[in-house]
Amino acid sequence: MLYREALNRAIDETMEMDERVVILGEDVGRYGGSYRVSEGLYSKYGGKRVIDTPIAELSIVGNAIGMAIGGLRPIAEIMTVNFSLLAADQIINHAAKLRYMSGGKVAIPLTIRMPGGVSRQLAAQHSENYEAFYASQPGLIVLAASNPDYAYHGLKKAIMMDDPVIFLEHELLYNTKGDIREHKDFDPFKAEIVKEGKEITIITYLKMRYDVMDAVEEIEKELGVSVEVIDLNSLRPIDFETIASSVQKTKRVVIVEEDHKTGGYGAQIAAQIAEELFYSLDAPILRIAGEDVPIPYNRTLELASIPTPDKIATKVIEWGRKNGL
Amino acid sequence: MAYEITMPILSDTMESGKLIKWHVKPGDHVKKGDVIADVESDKAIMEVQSFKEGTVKELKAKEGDEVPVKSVIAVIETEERSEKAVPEVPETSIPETETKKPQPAPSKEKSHASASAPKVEEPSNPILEILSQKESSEPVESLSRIPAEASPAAKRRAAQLQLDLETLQKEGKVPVPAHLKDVESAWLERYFTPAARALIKRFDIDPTQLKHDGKVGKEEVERYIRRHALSEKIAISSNQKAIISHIEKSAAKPVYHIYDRLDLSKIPQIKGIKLTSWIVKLFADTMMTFPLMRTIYREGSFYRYEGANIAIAVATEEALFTPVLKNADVMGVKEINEKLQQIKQKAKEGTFKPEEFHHSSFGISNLGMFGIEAFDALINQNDAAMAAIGAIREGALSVTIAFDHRVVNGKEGALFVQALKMRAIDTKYMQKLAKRLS
Repeated sequence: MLYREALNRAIDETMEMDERVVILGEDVGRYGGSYRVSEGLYSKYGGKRVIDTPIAELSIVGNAIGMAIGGLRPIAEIMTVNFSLLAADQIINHAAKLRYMSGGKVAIPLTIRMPGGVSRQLAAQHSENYEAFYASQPGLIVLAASNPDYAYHGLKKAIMMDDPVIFLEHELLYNTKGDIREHKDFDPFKAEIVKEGKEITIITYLKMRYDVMDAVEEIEKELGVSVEVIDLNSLRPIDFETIASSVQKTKRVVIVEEDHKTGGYGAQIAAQIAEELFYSLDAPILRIAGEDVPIPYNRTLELASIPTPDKIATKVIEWGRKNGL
Repeated sequence: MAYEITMPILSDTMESGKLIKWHVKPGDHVKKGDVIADVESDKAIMEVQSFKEGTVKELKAKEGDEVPVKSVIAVIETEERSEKAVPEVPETSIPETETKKPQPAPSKEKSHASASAPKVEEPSNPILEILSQKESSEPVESLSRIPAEASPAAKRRAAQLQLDLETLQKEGKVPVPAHLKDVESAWLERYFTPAARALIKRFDIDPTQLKHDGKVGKEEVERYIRRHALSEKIAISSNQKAIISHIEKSAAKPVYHIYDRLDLSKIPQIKGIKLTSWIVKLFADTMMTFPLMRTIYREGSFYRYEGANIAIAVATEEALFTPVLKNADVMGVKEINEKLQQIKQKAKEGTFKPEEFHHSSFGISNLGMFGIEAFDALINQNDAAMAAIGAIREGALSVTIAFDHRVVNGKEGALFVQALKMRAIDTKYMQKLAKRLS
C-alpha cells in the first residue's frame, strides 16, 4: 500500500467509525487533496464533513480549534509546513495552550497534518522542516510518519487523541510503498528499531530513515561493525527509553536529520544524550544535518544542502575511524 | 624587596606541614638554592630551599609548629627592587627515597612521588594534584577529574578498573584519545598473561570476575572455567553448516524403517575387493527391478532415474560427504571397488566437485567396520531411501532401510528387502559377478 493510501485509509476508517471526525483544508474536498490523501472522501462523506477552505491557514486551524471545542474531532490539512507559520498563533497560542488555560476543562482533539522537508526543487520557501519548532511547544504532540505502517496506525491514534497532534509527513514519501502490519496495542509514541546492531546507533526519522538505511551497508563493511538504526516516529514526546538502551549497548551515536544543523531537532536529542548518557559514550556524538542555508532551487545545490546516503556513509566512516572503530 | 617563602604543598593530600628544623636565622645571608628549613608533610621530611638570594629578615614559625600550606614561614630581603612583594613557593629538594621518576600508578606511593616532584613554575598544578589523588573507594565518582584525553566511557572504565589513563598514555601504552577497548586491553595486558587472555577470549569470560591481585595466569582461568562449567563457542565450518541444513531437511521427511539381515555366505571372498563393493552392487542390481527405489519426491512431483544412482556416506575427521555413484548397476564389482577407493581418497583431500553430490535416489551408510550391531540412518536430503549397514554376526549382516513414505509404501519396501535377500543368496548371480572380476 502507498503511504498516501495508508493515510487515506486511516482517515476513512476513523470517519466511518466516528461521525465527529471531519477534515478541512485547501483542496481536500472536490480535488481530493494536493497529495491525493483525501481522495474519495468528499463523495463518500459529503461537504459537511470534508470541507474545502479558502487559502487562509490561520482560519483553517482557528476553525478547527473551534470545532474541537465544540465536540468534533477535526483533521486540519496544511498544504506544507512552510505555510503553517501563518497558522502558528492558532497552533501555539491556542491549540497547544487551551487545555492548560482552561484548567483542564477544554480538550482540543485536533490533528494537524502537514508535509514538509526537501522535495524536488521546490526552493527555499517550500522546503523547510519545522519539527524542532513544534516539538519545543508544551501542549503539542508531534508525530513523524516515515512509512505506510506508521502513517496508518499513527494517524488513527492521532485522530482519536484528545490533545492537539502535529502529524508530520514528508513530500517525497507519499508514493512510497510498504505493508501495513497487525499490531497488538500499537503505541504511537514508541520508536522503531529498524535494524539491530552492536557498535553504532543511528537515530533518525521521516525520510532520512531511508537515506540512512541506504548508507548502512557501506558503513558496516568499511568499519567492520554492525549498526543499529532507530526511527523515532514520535518527536514529542520522544521515546528516550529506546534511545538509552541502544546507546548503552553501542556507546556511539549518530543523529541524522534533514533539518538545518543549527537548532535542528537533532540538537535536542544530542543534548539529552550528553546529559543523561555521558558516561556511556565512547565517541563524540555525530550530527549529520542539513546545511545552514536556505534550501537552493538548483538540484545539485539542493542535494548539497541536505544529507544523502553517500554523505552519511562518508561522514560516519570518517568519524568512526577517528574515534577508535 | 621582600621575598616570602611559604609552606609548600608537598603532597596532594597535605593541608599543613610541620616545621622540623630551621637551617637559618634572621640576619643570615642565603643564596639561591640554599636549604633554609626541613618540613614534614604527611608523607616525608623534605627540605625547603630559597629560590632567591638575600638576607633572612624574619622567621614566622617556630620549630615544631604545624603551619598550613601556602602560609608564609620566612621573609627574605632581596636586593631586587620592586613595588610589591610577591609570595613564591620555594623549590624543594626531594629526599633520596623518592627521587625516582614518576611511575605508572596504581601504587599510591609512586603516584604521590610524581606529585611531589619540584614544580616551581606551577605551584599548584591542578592536574598533578588530581592525578596523584588516592584511588577513591568509589572510582566512578572521581572520574570526571581524570585529565586524560579519552571518551567518557573509557574514563569511566579506567576509573572502575583503577587504571591511571594519563600515565598509560604518556608511556604510549594507550592511544590518545583513548576509547573503551583501549582501556580494557591495557587492563588485560597488565593483569593477565597472554595465555590467560587467550582463554578469556575463547570462553567469552568477563575478566573482572577473576581476582587479580598479581598477574592472572592460564591455570587460574582454567580453574574458573571448570568451576563455572563454561563452554566455548566453536565456529561451524561451511561443510558442517551444509550437513546441518541437509540433516534438518532430511529429518522433516516422513519415514519408516525396515529391519532385516542379509546372509553373506554366498558372497565370494576375493582379495582386494571390499565387502561394501559387493553390497553396493547387490543394492544397485536390485534397485533396477524396483523403479520406486530410483524415484524421488520433490516439490509436488516424482522424478525417476534410469540407473541406480547411490549416494555413499563417507566421513573424515571433520566432515561428512555423500558423493553419488551414478549408474552403479552397469558397473562391475571391480569398478565399484575402484570408485569407492577414489571416493575415500577425495574425502580425505576434500576434493569433491559440487556435481558429484547430485542425482541420487538411494543412500548407503556402512558403520559395520566399527562393530556396531545395527543403526537407523536419516535419508539424504534428495533421496527416497537410505540403507544403514551394521556389523556381521554369524555370517549375516544387519541392514536397516529408511524409506520416504511419500515415495515407497510399506509393501514395496518389504518386497524390495525380500528381493535383496534373495539376490544375496543367489549363487548363480554371485558367480556371474565373480566371473566378470577375472
